[in-house]
Amino acid sequence: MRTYLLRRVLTLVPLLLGVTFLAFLLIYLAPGDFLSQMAENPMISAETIERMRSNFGLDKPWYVQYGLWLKNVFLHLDFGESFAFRQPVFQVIAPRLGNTLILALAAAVVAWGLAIPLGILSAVKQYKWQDKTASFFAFLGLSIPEIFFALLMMYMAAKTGWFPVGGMRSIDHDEMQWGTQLVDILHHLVLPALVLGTVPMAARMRQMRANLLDVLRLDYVTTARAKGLDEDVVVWKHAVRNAINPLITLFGFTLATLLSGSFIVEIVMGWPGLGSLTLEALLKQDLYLVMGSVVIAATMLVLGNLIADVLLVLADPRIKYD
Amino acid sequence: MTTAVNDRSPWQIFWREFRKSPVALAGAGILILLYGAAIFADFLAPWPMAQQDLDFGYHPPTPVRWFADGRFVGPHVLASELVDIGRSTYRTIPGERYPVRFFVQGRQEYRVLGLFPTHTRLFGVDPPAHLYLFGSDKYGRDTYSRLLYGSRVSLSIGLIGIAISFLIGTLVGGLSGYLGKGFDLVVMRVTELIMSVPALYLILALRASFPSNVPSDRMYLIIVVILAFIGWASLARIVRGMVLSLREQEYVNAARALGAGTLRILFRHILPNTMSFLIVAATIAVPGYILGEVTLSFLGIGIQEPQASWGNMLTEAQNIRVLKSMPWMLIPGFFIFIVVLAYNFLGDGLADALNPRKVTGGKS
Amino acid sequence: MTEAFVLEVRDLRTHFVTDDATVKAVDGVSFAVRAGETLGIVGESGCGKSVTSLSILRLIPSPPGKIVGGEILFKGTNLLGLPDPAMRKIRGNDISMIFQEPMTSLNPVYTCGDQIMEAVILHQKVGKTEARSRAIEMLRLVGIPSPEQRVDEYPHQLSGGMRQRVMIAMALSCQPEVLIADEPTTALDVTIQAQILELLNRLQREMGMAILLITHDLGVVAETCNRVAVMYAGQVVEYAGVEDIFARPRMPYTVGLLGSIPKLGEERERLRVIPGNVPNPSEFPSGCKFHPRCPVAIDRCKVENPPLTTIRPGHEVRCWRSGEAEAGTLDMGKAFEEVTS
Repeated sequence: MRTYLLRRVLTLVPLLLGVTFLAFLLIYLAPGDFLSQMAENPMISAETIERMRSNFGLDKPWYVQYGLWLKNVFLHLDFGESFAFRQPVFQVIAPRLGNTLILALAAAVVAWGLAIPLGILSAVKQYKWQDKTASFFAFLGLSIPEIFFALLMMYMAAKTGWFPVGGMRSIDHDEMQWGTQLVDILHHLVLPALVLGTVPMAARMRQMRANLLDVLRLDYVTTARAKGLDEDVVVWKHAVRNAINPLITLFGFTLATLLSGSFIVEIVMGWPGLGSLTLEALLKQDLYLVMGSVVIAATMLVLGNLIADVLLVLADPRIKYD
Repeated sequence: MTTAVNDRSPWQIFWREFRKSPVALAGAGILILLYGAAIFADFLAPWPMAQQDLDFGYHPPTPVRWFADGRFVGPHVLASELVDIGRSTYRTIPGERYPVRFFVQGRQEYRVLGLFPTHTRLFGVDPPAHLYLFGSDKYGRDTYSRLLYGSRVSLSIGLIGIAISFLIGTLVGGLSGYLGKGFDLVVMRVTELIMSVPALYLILALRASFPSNVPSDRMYLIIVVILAFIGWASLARIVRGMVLSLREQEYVNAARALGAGTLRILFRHILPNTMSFLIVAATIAVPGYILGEVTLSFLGIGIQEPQASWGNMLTEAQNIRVLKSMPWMLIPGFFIFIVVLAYNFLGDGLADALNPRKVTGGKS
Repeated sequence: MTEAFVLEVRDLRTHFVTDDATVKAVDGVSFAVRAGETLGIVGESGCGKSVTSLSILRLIPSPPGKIVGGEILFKGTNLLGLPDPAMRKIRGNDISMIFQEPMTSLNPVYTCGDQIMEAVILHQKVGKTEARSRAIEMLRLVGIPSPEQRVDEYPHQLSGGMRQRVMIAMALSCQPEVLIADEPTTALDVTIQAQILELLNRLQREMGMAILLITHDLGVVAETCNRVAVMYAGQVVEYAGVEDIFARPRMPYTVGLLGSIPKLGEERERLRVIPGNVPNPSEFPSGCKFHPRCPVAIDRCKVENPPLTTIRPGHEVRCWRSGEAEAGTLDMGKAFEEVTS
């Protein structure tokens, strides 16, 4: 298991090299750079721009820039400095990453907390009204575009006043007790988490339903019934435990996609996360900030998959890695 | 009895199965309707795409009335006037009725199917009244008309994008599976790289490598290229997997023994067998392309004003004040939802029809 | 007489209702079994024997299945009239069951011990420690080496034969009065088959339960059963003691089944088989359901289904011509040889 994990972490290295190279290349291909936008400002003199250009290393060929960036990363774990924020990249990213993690985790909780019981209900009540209703909403959930759903929720929040309209904290957040602060953030979190969690919820629900229906046909379920167990025990202890395994693998994967897929929600609903930061950085050609975000996103993807593998080993005694 | 079934062509069997699913038929019907509306947008839309009326910004949907003084008088509207410019509130002017006229002559000429010049539009009302079926935007442009014109961009981009992805994916995936070795290795690493980056990040990064302000027609091409560049990877992997299993089949060996060349075997004997599955995969993938365009345009880095797209029409709704008081600005989003739903319905129906799983009865 | 039987099935009817048709999988089956006795239920696949066994424990998936008639008497109580909780007390405690596929009959995510203990804790109201020692004891009883370690192993760590032993240990852990064994050896190697049958015989001597052995294998029947019910197309067609079945079969179907077993020392060019196929349960033929395949069928067989008739004490047959066979004027075996040669 340990060697397996180590091997998986090591596969991260070529992946990150490929992804960062691609990102660097694409940003280089983009016309202009961060400073050419600044140069349009008449308040800043041409000499200043030139001085900054050489300070930032933007006057060198792109492969030299990429090489320097790689060298700094490997030798000093230095990911460079954001042009716009004038701060080390990770100082800018860290709080945003934290916010995105909160959002992604909450969405995962929403998705899994609803998908699994609903999927089980749907399978146990196959073709009854509970199943038909749940399946219908799952189909809607899979089809509703995030942008539209997010806007719709914002409209609802604005009309009813039940939820804050966007953002992560109230204006008077800093004057609150820490318990109230927590409630405040949770209150802001509900709608973004719902919007972000809907698609994975619908997908996992359908999967859970299909898996459980398959498992309920298996011999060991009949064995459990023949033992005289209560139907609830048969379903929950014997069938669900097995039907859930393939989904456990997906948990890590979902987490990874949520982390990278959250930026529509972040932008529309004003959640100050990594996604909106990355978009800004990309549009401003804030080179090293983009690179930092890309590294984080890809790492999350791999870590998510790794978590998935570990969870699967814990859940299924038949599976062993060495 | 069984011969009767076997006599039917695959298409007949497909159609018989497909017809059984009301949901799939509804999906297909909705899509035919919407694509038809996109083609005949000029005729169906009462306004040209970019026509503004700055005095009537954020006008709510005009109610079409049928009765006056308790009598049926046919469809008509009342004129309205601005009350508060800050809040964009309007008041209807009682009195004069303006009937909804059909087959009216518009001011701007257009060509039906790009060929026949005409001024005729399906309906309209005489000034000073306005018929805003779905309300108007900031510049007093008719949301209903812009929705129709925008559908040309938003709906076609999905089809063209998937067509390109489909071609590249089938060709590259097919060759990769059939040739194997070095070609396969390179192709698979490239697809892995493309698929390991979250799609939206890749779309944005690719978008960033193009200039930010380009004319709409070029932007359309850029978006198609970006979406197709990302989309071919997963299709190629599907095709490759199927080709790998198919190329060992007897009939492929038979074709090879008869001296058929690589490409001939691939195109005549292997790829046709992957088609039904690919059609389903492609149908389900179209919404992804549509949403790709919508997202870019929504973020302001896709289709630019004044060209309408379902994405950039939603941009204004990001403003919470607009969203709260002018909820009709959300209508394009609702249509995106309907289109995605219709494609998913259609995809489900196609998957069932192309792969009929017969339900078996009880067994002993 | 009834009191002597632990389990008595009377005129059981189990149907499956689908959109297209009603499948009468079990259509009027009766038999009975005494404590310490083994009753074999024999037939080709599709004849309704598995549905019969699942019906006894009321484990028919519903919909589409439904027990539409008959009685299942366990020590005089009709199981079909019991409320669900009372039925669950019977399952695994008084009547338990083992299945054909030891590979898939055990839950892969729980240890063997857990799965045995589950039934013990449920029915015997004992604590975990006691249930565990009970599980170990059961594993030892079914001949599993080093049960103290095996109790904590998962099913995938055991061979097929070992798993079937675990299934048996689980089924017998509450000392049931009836054990239903549905093709318990079919999925196993021949040498393992013999070991499992031997084990069942031994446990029956030690524990005294009645066994309902469902099988298509007449060899298994000969080795283990006291009485035999031969099933065809959802009905019992011959019901007799094991000696009568093998020595004096009076239903052409039984004769055909026996004829299809190769015998040592007998010179024959090829195996005899019963011509034709088992009929599709949704379209059974009229009259005697075996008549399309029967070499001695007469016109009456095509229109009228014969009743189960006692031709000798303890020997019942469903055939219009069984009287002739009993009287010696009709040689059914020869008739089969003529059709197949």
